[in-house]
Amino acid sequence: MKRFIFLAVVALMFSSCAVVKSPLSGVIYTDVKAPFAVTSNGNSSKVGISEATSILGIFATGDASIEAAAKSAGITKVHHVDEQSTSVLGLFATYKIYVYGE
Amino acid sequence: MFTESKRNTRSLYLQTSCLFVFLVISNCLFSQRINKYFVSNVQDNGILYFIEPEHKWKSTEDNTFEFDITYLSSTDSISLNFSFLSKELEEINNLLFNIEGAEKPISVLCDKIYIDYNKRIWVHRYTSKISHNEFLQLYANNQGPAPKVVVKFKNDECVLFTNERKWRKKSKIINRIFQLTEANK
Repeated sequence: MKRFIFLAVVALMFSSCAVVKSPLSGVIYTDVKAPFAVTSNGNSSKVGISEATSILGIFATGDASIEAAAKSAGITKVHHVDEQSTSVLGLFATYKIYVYGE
Repeated sequence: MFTESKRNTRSLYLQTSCLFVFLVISNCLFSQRINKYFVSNVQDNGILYFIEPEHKWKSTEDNTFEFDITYLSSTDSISLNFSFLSKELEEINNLLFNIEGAEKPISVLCDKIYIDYNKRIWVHRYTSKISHNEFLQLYANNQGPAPKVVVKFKNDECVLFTNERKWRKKSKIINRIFQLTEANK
């Protein structure tokens, strides 16, 4: 019984620790793409990406800003922005931003 | 006797549930979904594809190189944006892809996007254009050795290598994505 309680407490401590911003989320696995922003600019020819990662909800690093994504592809006019959230068992989570523009 | 049977049934339920959870997780994690390796956007002038960087090339001096690809289906060229990370600040002139058995290496000119300094490492971010056919040559022989990348500076160069197993896996995915782009033309 003590072991069961210990395991339950450990599971509670670690489950859904690495929470990631997402319109929908799954307890076991999340992999969701969603719209983030749109502008009135025309077609896009470049795509930039930026990313932030969380491990166990203890460590979270990265730069998932629109600026970082736009900079990575040399985008000066943003057309639209999408986001992608991924999470595995709440232990490991990533948040990506895709910037489309020219 | 009755308790023993109940315990066995409970154990069987537990094992089946564990197996089910394992199958769900492994299906999510390891199934060959190529959709997770690229994003696409339908536009007036064609479909824009973006293939994310997946694996790195490394040099003996611990420099790293990785690239992502942007391809507009109505054009014949591919934008290859790359990051070259090194301890020294460099001025990159061009890139060479040395393919085993090819007559000559694929050479591409580079334009600087930005240079950054982060945690004692210089991040060189450059862009280059490569023709659609030349790019596919890079991934044509996915059973052979991975191409070497040579980053050419003004007076020097850096040779980088990649993991063969990862390269083969990535080659299959890239070929499948480009099959898809052709099918959608």
